[in-house]
Amino acid sequence: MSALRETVRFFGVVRPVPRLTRIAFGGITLASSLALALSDASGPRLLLPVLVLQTFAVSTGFVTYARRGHFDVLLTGGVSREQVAIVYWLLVALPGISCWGALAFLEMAVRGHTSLLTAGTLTAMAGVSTIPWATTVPLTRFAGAIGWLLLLVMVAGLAPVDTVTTHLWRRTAGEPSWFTVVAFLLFPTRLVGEPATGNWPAIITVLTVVLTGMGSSVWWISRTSLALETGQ
Amino acid sequence: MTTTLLDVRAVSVRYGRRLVFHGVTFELPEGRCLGVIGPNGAGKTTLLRAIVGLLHPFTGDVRIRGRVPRDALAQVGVAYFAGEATLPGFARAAAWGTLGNGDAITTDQRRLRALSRGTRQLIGLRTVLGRQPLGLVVLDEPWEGLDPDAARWLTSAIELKRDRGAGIVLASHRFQDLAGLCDAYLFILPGESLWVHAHEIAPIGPVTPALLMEAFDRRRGGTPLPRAVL
Repeated sequence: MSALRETVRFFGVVRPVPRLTRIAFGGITLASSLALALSDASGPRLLLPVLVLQTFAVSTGFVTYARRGHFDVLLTGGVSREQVAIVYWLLVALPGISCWGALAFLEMAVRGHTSLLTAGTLTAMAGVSTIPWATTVPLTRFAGAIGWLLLLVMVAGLAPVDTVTTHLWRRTAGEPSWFTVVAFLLFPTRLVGEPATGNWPAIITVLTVVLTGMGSSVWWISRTSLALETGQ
Repeated sequence: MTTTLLDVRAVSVRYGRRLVFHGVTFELPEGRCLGVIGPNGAGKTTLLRAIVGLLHPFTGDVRIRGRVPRDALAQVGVAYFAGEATLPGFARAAAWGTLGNGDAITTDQRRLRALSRGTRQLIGLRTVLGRQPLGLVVLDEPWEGLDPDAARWLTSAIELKRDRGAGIVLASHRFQDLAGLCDAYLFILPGESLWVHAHEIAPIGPVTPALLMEAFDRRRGGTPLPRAVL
C-alpha cells in the first residue's frame, strides 16, 4: 500500500472535518445554488458564506490531536510527516473548495459565464483555506478562525470605516497603497470576483503569506515533538 | 548471532525546563523483549515516544537498525500503541480496525467512545499488532483494562512476535505481566536508569513477579517508595 493511499485512508477513518461542518457546507451550497438559479444574486456574494465557513473548517488544530495520540498509528507507519501535513491540509480544505467549484460550475451553467474563477477569487480561496489552518496548527480547533474574526473586529474598531472602504471598495485601479494591501490581507474575501489587473500587489501579498504560512506550518509539523498529553 | 535492532545512547528528554530523564542507554537485539519499569512520571511513556520518533531527545541518540527512527519506520515496521485513551473516540471501531493491515478485526460499527475501555484497548492493540512486516513492537501499559482472556491473548501475541524476530519494548506497572516475558528490564528511577538482565534477577529459573519487584525495590534504594504519594 502506498504511503499516500495509507494517509488518505487514515484520514477517511479519522475525519479531520467534523460531520456538522460538512453538513453546513452542503446546506450553504444548496441554498446558494437555489439563489443562483432563481434570483440575480451575484456569484461572489453567494461565495462569501462558503469562505467564512471555510475559515472555521480549516482551523482544525493538527498538533493538539497529534499530542492526544490520535495520529500515532499513521505517524509511526512510515509515512513522512511532511506528507501527512499536506494531505491533512488538502482534506480539510476539500469541502470548501468543492462548494466553490460547484457554485462556479452552476453559475457558468445558468448564466453562461462565471465570476468565481478570477485571479482574485482564487487568491481569496487560497487565503481562507491556508492562513487559518497554518495559524491553528499548534492551537485548538477554530482558534485561527476566531483569532481572525477578532482581528477584523479590532481593525474595524480602530480604523475609520470610511478609510477602510475608500481603500477597499473604491480604490484606484492600478494604484494600490500599502493600506490596501494590508486590508486585503485581513479581508481576502474582498478579492472575490476581482480580476488580476490592478490587484497584483494585493494578490502577491496574500499569496506570499499563504506560501509562507503553509511552508512554515509543514516544517513545524515535521519537526515538533509530540509528547503525549492524554491521560491513560 | 543476534543483530542490534534498537540502539538508545545517553538519551535525555526535557519538557521545557523540566528534565524528565537523562542518560538512558541500552541496546535491544532482534527477537528480544525489554520491560520498562518506573514510578508514575518517571518518563516511561516519553521514552517510548522517543524510541518511535514522535519525540526528539534533548540529548543522545536513538537508532533503529542504524537509522534515525523516522527513516527506519517504513523499513522496519513498527507497532506502537500508547493506550486506549489515545484512540479518537469519534472514529468507527470497524473502520479503525482496518488501519493495521487492511483486514477487518471487528464488525462493530459503533464509535470507539461508545465501547468499553477494555474493548477499545483490545481494538487498539490488535490494529497495531496486525501490521506486516513487524520488526519492532513498542507498547505502553498494554495490559491495562484487558480481561483475563484478552490479557492471555496479548501475552501470547507478544511471545509470537518476539519468537519471529521482532524486538519488543513494553512499559508496564504490572510486574506479573512483565516477569518471565522479558529478557531484560530497564528501571527508570528519578535521576538514573538501570539496565538489568533477567539472569541477574533470577540466576536459576524464570523471573517471578516477586523477584522482579524485589530487584526493582533494591535498585531504587532498598526501601519501597510509599504508595499514592503526590
